[in-house]
Amino acid sequence: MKAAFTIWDGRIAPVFDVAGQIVVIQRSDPSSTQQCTCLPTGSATEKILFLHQQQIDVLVCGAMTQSTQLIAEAHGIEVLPFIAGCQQEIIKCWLNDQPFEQHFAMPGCNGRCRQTRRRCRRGRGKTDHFKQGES
Amino acid sequence: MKRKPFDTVGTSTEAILESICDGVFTVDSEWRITSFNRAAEQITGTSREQAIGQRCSEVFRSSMCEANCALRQTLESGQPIINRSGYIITAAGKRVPISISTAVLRDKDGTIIGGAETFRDLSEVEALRKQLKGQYQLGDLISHSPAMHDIFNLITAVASSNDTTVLIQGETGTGKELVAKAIHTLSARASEPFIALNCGALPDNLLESELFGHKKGAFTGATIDKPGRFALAGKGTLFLDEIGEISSALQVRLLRVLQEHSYEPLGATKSQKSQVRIIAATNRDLSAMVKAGTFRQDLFYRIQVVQIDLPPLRERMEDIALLTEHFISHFNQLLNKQITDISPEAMACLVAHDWPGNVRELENIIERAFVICPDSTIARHHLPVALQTAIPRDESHLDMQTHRDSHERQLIVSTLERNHYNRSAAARELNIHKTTLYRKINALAIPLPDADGRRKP
Repeated sequence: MKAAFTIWDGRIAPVFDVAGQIVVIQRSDPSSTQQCTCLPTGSATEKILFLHQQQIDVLVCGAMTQSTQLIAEAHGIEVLPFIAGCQQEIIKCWLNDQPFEQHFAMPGCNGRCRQTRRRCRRGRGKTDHFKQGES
Repeated sequence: MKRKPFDTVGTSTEAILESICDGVFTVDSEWRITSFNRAAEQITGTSREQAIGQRCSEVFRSSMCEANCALRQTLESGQPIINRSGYIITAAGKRVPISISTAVLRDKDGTIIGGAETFRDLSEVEALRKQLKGQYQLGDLISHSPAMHDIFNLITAVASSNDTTVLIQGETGTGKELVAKAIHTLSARASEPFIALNCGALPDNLLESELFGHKKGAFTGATIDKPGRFALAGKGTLFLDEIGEISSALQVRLLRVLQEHSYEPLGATKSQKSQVRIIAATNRDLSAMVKAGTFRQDLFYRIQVVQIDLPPLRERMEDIALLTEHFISHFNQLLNKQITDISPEAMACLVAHDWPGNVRELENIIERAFVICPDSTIARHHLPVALQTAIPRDESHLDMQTHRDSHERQLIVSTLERNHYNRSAAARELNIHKTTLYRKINALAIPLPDADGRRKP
């Protein structure tokens, strides 16, 4: 499973729409070098299409509009939006399969993370991460 | 810097900050929020308690935060920034347009201790601007008709349901293929092929081979294996235009593909899996064809999971000026010309036409005008003769009032026709009072039939 983390200044980038870089991590090969990739500078949809081309399964990012999230999910990407915090700590949690949305939620955005988890559970329930959250 | 939340309004400055509608927050030298007023809470959807002490970028969530931070620029240059536009994303995931202004905060000794940012919610201004401009766009589709706006919303919704079969109905030239392309581009299949096939353009046996492909030796002249459009589309989208023209035999084969997601190329012994999404289109009334027994009911229900009905251009005459402007800009780029506008006389001719060929006809007319227009303005004589004679020459020299009357008249007539001359229904659709409609009908001398649409003849 491949996850992308939008990054800025060593933290999750605050706004997905204007995020410039992602770190891509493969869960099956966590020891491999974290790959830093530039995102296209265009619209949020262009960034989503780019992530889809990179075969990203999970996107961990900062603030994201509902419509962008819908587009991402339509492209088969599980989205964990409204996350804030140190990039390395969040990546470590994800690699260890630990739920982190509540602990690293953006100020005032706990509800958004819960909504996302519920929707994903009802939907494809694709990632181990979400399956764990169900139990 | 001592943090001063506005939870207790101690000073008159704090009282003022609490009472204004602009959001205000201050940060210390480490970009952590030190105060956050009531309006800031409302606009961002984040409470003061949650905001204080946090990084401003993670509370404010603005389009400027990463590479274009106004507050950072102010603190570096010492110069305030006034009314810079951008947007924030609220805790509810909504995009709110804002304008921001920044200032440096100094202590008594003049040392910089942080910065202040005020921001104004421009949602209402933006909504009014959109209402005034009244323009909606989706992919290559452009309109400011409310009916088309609903269709744009439907396209977005359909695109996110990845496998749903869609039927697009509309007269020729209304943009059925553009709608299909928009659905494909917005869907998860965007990176896969979009294959279009006009079912009305090919004889039946050739169409079958085109759709499903054939194996070498399947028929005389089949010297090699040839993949069909289903195979070419792969996991993408197959757009079947003029679906109403296919024969009964092919309808059966198509139904089988839709039901079983597999097909057999001509001359093949094994089935092939199909993962394609099908979008069908027609300019005919398929439900009427089902009733007449010329189109299979089961196939109709299979392809009509979601139906999109595109209105003809004559039912959205308000789009003519917008589309004309769009095509002028398009052909300027394509043909490397510098045509800036269209004369009022030529526009009057366009508005007077009833557009049987819809948007495609308008596009062709503008392209034709580009070829013969040597100036910067498309004039009446650059239009086809049939359009020039649609209104007498002296009538094309119209003032603003006459233009408005002509447009109003057309709108009322088309609405009345659509509502079978039921005046109340027409008034409701036009969002005006019934008496206003009667007054306009009299003033514009619109002829009415004897039947008023309330009773069945």
